[in-house]
Amino acid sequence: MRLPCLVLLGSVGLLIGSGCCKTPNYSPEYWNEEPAVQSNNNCYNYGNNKRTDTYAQPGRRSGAEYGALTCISVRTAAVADGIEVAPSSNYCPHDKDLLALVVDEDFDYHWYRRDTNGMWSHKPGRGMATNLDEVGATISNPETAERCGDYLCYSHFCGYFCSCSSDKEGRGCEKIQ
Amino acid sequence: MKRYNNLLAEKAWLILLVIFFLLTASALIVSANNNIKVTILLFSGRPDPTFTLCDEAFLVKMKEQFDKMVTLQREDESSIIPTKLGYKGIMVSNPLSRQGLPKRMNIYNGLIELNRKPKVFLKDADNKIERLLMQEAINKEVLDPKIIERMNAKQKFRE
Repeated sequence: MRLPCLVLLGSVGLLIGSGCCKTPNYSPEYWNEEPAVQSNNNCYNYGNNKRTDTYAQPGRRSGAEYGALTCISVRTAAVADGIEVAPSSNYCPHDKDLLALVVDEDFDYHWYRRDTNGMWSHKPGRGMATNLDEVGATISNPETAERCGDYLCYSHFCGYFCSCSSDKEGRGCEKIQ
Repeated sequence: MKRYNNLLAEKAWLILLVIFFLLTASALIVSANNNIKVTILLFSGRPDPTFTLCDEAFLVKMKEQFDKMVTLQREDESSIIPTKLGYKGIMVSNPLSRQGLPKRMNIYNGLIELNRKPKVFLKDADNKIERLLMQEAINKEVLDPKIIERMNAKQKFRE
């Protein structure tokens, strides 16, 4: 009886120590460290709060990378990685974090994440992580945030997703690569 | 023992060939990593367009421009790469400081940031270096034609 109890306690300990699944705090300084972090982690890394230094792509880890820059294709690839489509209530179960996906169809995709303060933040590629949109406003709703920059405009809103994030920056628990 | 030595002698050429290929492959990989790599900072999710700068004449032209540049005094040491969606500038990695050009630099909107400690900022008059590199990206066809169409519509990077 003693050994199974120890194994169970150890597993629980590991889960607690890993900080999974928890809503992240807004802590951009972690992601804005150059040259190691900022240039090597994109919006998908940031959205999932998972530092990989590989400029992670949806579906790459699971061998099902997106084939087209459309909502359907990127959504399918992210789901293959284990990210779940959020229920209609947008309430993520099991303490998972809420993410939002937008695309500039045929050009690019972009992810936002919701932080513990209830507001949203994002990391535009190799740029710095920020809680502001393109007109400098804080983001209370990614659907209404300004999403057009130079030469790109992420006008298609693809939906919400749930990701097993962490309260420790960069240590999200989704398997992305 | 004699039979073993004969076998070893016969296979020696194969072993040497394998070692030769491994060394050549390693040298090629190291060489590729030491080239000047230019990244157009454009996308948020998908990989940014990149290309390698090898043309000596082009590098000489770039160095000539650099030699004319003025150093700027900036109290704000934060990156010149803007925090926004879309085009954010150009990043250049030159591990071996080829042609005497900087090892790492960011270029955007008339400014060049040399990633050293402390940082150094230069004035890119008329966005000359930025235009040069963007034109090279277009020439090397690393930019999606649809992106170039959008750029042309803003009349920003055409010579």
